Amino acid sequence: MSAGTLYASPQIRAPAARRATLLDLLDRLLAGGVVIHGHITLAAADIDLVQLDLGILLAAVETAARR
Amino acid sequence: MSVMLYAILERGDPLTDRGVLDGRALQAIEDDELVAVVGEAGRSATDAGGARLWEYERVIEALMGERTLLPARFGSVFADATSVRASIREHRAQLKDALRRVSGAVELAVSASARSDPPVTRDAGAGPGTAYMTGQLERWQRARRIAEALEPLNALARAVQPRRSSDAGTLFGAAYLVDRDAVPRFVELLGRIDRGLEEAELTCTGPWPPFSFAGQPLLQEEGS
Repeated sequence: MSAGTLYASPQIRAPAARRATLLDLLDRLLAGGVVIHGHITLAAADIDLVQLDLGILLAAVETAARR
Repeated sequence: MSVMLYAILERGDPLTDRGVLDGRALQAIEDDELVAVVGEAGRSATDAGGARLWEYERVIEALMGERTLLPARFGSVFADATSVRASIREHRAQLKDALRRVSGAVELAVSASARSDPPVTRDAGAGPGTAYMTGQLERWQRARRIAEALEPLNALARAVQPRRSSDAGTLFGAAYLVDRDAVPRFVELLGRIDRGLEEAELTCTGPWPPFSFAGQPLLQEEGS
């Protein structure tokens, strides 16, 4: 058993079907599944996304303060 | 050592190391009738890159081949095995209920996207605001017609969960919890509906672990 494209309209070309599978994967892993813990840790390129978000926020605040 | 949760399983025979599980440092934490499967949460474990997400999903699929399970949301990191056990104990009744709901079934994802742009009905002299609202109304009517055409699928599913897709071109999206042996009939019926549907193209992906039916998030249900 493997999660892939089970059915696609004949008009849908293979790359579009693969994209649908990837979007479904993202939707499920990041927004589905059971949660029994207070926080979720995600990272991108070894940087925790939470820290990344805080960094963007700090940059925005600094920019606003200069105006 | 911090650990990342992959799934909660029913307790049963020891998991066999085969395929994707082979060679992975996975640990089974048992409590009462439940088992949590965790892996070491190294620096790259929570990296939400495509390859890492597929790897995570493949581990859960391999586990699903052995036993009924509840997949965990990606990135569920715990301080140690003791805190995993404590969380399972706290939510034991809900987890067991959720396992009963999904036992013997898989999740299928169905989405519909427009074959072409809808014919736009515009009044002469209508402003951009009116044109936008008319477009939205036509999109909504289209989505409703597609949902009605797909209604016969509900009879082959234990449960249906509407899902909002991150793809803006998607008119309809839903997750279906389907008995494993009903999957071929579901896909065959979907193909028949698709052939009679002029305004949308259908895609079905899966079988997925039951991410949309895992009773999540338990923490919010409890108001915590």
